[in-house]
Amino acid sequence: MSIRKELLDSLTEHREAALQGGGQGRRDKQHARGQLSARERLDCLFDGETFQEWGMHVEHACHDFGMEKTKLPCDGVITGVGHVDGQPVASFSQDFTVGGGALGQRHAKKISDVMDYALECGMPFVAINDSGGARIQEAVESLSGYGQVFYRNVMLSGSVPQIAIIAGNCAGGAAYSPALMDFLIMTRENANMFICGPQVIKAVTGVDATMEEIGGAVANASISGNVHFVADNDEHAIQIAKDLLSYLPPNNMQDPPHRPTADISLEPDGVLNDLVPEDAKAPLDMQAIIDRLVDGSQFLEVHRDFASNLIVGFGRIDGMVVGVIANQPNVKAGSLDIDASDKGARFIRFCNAFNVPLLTLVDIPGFLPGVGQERGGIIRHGAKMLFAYASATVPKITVIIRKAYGGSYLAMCSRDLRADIVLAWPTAEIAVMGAEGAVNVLYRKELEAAEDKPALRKQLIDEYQEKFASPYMAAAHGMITDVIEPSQTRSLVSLALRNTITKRAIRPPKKHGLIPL
Amino acid sequence: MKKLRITVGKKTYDVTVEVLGEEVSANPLPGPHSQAATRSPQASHEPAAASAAPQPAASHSAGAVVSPMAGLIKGILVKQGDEVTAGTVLIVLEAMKMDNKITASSSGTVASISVQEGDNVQEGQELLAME
Repeated sequence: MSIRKELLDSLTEHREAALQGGGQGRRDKQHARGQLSARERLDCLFDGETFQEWGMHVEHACHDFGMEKTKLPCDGVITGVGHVDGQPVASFSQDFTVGGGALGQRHAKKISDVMDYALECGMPFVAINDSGGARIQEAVESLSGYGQVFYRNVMLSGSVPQIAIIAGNCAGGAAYSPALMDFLIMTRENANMFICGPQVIKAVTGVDATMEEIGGAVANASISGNVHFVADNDEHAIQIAKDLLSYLPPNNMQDPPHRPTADISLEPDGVLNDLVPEDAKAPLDMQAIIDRLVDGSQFLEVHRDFASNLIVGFGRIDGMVVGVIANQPNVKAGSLDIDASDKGARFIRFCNAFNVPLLTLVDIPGFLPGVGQERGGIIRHGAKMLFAYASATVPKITVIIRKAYGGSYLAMCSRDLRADIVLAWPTAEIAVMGAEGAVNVLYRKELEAAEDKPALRKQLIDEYQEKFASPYMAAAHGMITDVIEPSQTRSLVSLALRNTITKRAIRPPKKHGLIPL
Repeated sequence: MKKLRITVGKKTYDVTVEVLGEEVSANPLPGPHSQAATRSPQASHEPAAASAAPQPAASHSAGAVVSPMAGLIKGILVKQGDEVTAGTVLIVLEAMKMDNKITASSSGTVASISVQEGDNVQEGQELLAME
């Protein structure tokens, strides 16, 4: 008594046919371009033999244009669930060797099924995109397929982390699925993402543009900000996705993987004292401060090439996961502009959705002045920072390093936006405006009447600077928790995290707030 | 597209010419907004661009280093002909309560300097050119 051999042979045959995909010849072409095949990408993502494939035997549903005679193994997409560092993750990987990875009705259903599963079981979702677009032969069925995927992207949003890897083409409407996800990783050489390509742009507007200018990884990462990470190749892209997952909870009902150390780092770090320039006007490298604060200088910077006047990313402090938001005075004096506000607000909201505590490091002179900024809507965009911080209910710890002026001070998670702990270095300058501007307004008449205007101006500026450009005025008004020595920062942030990690901020129920988009 | 044959000396060239800018004037029924329908990206009603970083405009020299924001030139630390390496501070720009260092993005020679100490500059304005 045993199962009939021909049944097992038939199973092997079916599996072999599916595993062949578009055949070795097409896979060789992918390899020649420096790409991995769709299955190799999944092998790279998942631990050992943990990948369980779904719908390997699915066939396409098209009976027009001679398609009924065509076989498309797996319908051009491999879907399923595997383990990443021991945690289940749902994924799909489009197979460019099968009909150009084009999306048809069954292809979309496979993706939709695995997304539904990710949402119900509360696991992260990783999408590996490499597709020519809609399968034209399936007409509105494939269009509808995209709609079904988009809808699920929105259903998953804020419930489970969603990471998109763009490893090949992702053109037109297809680009909106990654766009609805939390983090986009794009390979430098072989990937394109755009809505209207160079030919359409030329035909409609008459403007010549190269693919690189509008749809390449660098343009998407540094100009438009559509993409968060540029990867050197497929393996690197997958490694970035795994690094991201190492900081994230599987879903919004769970905490991120905090592993608080048994002991608090109480050792003062003298290097932090040395990182502050004596001259308050000399720029300071915020990256160097972040490197001193996070465990082992391990910091996963998000959106590094976009709006680099603001640094955002993930790290751990004494084993506890934090999302860091920090002004970078080395770029545009660390001011907030439109792009930096969009970048910051988006990151803050991600952290809040997935229970990641926020550590804000402040050295900000103000919102960037300029005609372009005003006309581009800095009011609307800057408001996103205020909205994101105020609505965040995760632990919020703020360290004011140096400048904290006017509205931009408020927008960097001030006490008034309900920061739980605000620490200020003795170099902090918390004031409504800079000394020069303030003196011009406050002493206009005195300055006009003075015989030696420059001398009086200088004297008044120095007085203002001393009295107001310090942490003590704000401290006297109870706006900060404590003034600390820079060397104490890591240990006091660690302590603050331990004390706020159980935070429960309950707010009245509503459908959603109305962030000024 | 028009095909033209051009003879220079004894050589004959067949060329294809695309006539630009005819479309608007050729419009038989220009509407009230026909001017706004021109395709010039420089049209005055265009909303101000708000790009992440000021890109050197076409009017700039090759290798132009432009100001990242409006401010005052506080110091020029190089002169024409100086050879610099990537990261060298070229100019100190006082803006936003800070002395911002404008550095060379790559190694090269300072070809020309377009500003003087004490000048007020705008975002995107050329400060100097490298070659």
